[in-house]
Amino acid sequence: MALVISLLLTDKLPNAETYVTTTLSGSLLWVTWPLVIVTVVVYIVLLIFHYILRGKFITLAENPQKLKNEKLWDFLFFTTQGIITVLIVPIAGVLLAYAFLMIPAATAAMFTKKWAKAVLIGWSIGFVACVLGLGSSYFFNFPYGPTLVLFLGLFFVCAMVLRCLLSRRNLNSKGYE
Amino acid sequence: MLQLLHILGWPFLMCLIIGTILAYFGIHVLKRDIVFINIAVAQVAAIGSIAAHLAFEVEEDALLSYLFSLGCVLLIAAFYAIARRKIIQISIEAVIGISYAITAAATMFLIGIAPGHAHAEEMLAGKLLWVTWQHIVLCLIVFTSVAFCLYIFRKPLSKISQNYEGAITQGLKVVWWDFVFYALLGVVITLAVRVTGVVTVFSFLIIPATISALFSAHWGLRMFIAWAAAAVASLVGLLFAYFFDFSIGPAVALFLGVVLVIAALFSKFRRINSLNMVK
Repeated sequence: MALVISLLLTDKLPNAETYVTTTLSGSLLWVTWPLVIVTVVVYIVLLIFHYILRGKFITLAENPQKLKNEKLWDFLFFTTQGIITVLIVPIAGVLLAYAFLMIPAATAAMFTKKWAKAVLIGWSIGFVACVLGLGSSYFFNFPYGPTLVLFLGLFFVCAMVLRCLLSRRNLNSKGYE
Repeated sequence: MLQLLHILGWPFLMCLIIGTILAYFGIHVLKRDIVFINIAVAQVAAIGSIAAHLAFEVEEDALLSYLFSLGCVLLIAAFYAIARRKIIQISIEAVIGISYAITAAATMFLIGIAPGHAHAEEMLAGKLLWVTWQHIVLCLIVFTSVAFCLYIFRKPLSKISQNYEGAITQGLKVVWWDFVFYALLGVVITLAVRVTGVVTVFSFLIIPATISALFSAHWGLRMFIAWAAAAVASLVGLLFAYFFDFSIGPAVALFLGVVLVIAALFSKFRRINSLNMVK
């Protein structure tokens, strides 16, 4: 519905097409140092907040019925998620923000159920994809946002293939097939 | 009045046709928990269209462009069917969501390399106002064929939608039937998105089916409720867009949302009333 209302509002705006495209693809190339510093400070604060309350947030994700004030923790989770999104979308665009949210986490989830390991795998994938994506976009003059997402996607597809192969090998070694 | 009919007649008819076929698919999609299937498949179809443009310089409405889109949709249908069976660690919804991000990025990448083909806003909002009787006839033929296939294959498709694990234990070839389902849905979405845009198709797929779920669990009744909701929202949305000068695709989507809110409130009051009566 939010997207529908955005589209209806753009009917009344001049240069609506540019507005929609910018919201989707962001303006990462034109990011300034002050904005980077603000983002780093806010994200570190949120990281500390989530680290201190990690027990509650993990329970919220895994067994929400065990929490006393489930709605309050839901509210806190979505508020922090909202702050992160508000800061990142104008810079990176909806697509890149979504890709960073989903792809490293889903890739990690295919190989481990432990949170610490999953975070490490996710960070590593995100970091390597950033370096490869931005590097190739700089050297080969590709659009940076889509190139970055494509590298994240490449990791995801490779992880899926690897997961299938590992599952098959495990099944074979146990004599199920 | 005549002018109103002349401008909104074809778009309204198109909304009814798309609403009918997508209402049925929507019930399946909700049961399977794959709500993002629409935007993912639409994006894949767009890649096919852009690839055809880059390779053969054909326009968006050319047959070759449709064939390329269809080819890409069949490939992604096979991918989803296999992924659902083989990757059990993450949900198929996550795979579909991520495939959307990747294909959207690929689309923007191709546009970045060869600009001037697609427009982000047009793909989202569609061009429902400019629908012609040729579009209506094409959609009618294709959607009727798809509906015929759905009728023939209704038993295995329903079984898989209701209970995937149960279907496996019953010996159904789930990968094959999933491929059939995604391919049929893909054909409908590919065609519908070109006319009404991603946002409207997404709304027609999810909202009427959700409204119907509030009132019934029976397939036939759910279809009727979903179709009625789609028809009312289309009519009011088109009139709203006409009188207040808005894009008609997003306006129809907005009123589908309004109908959902009203239906949810009505359902809630009905439940409270029946509880009071029992007391």
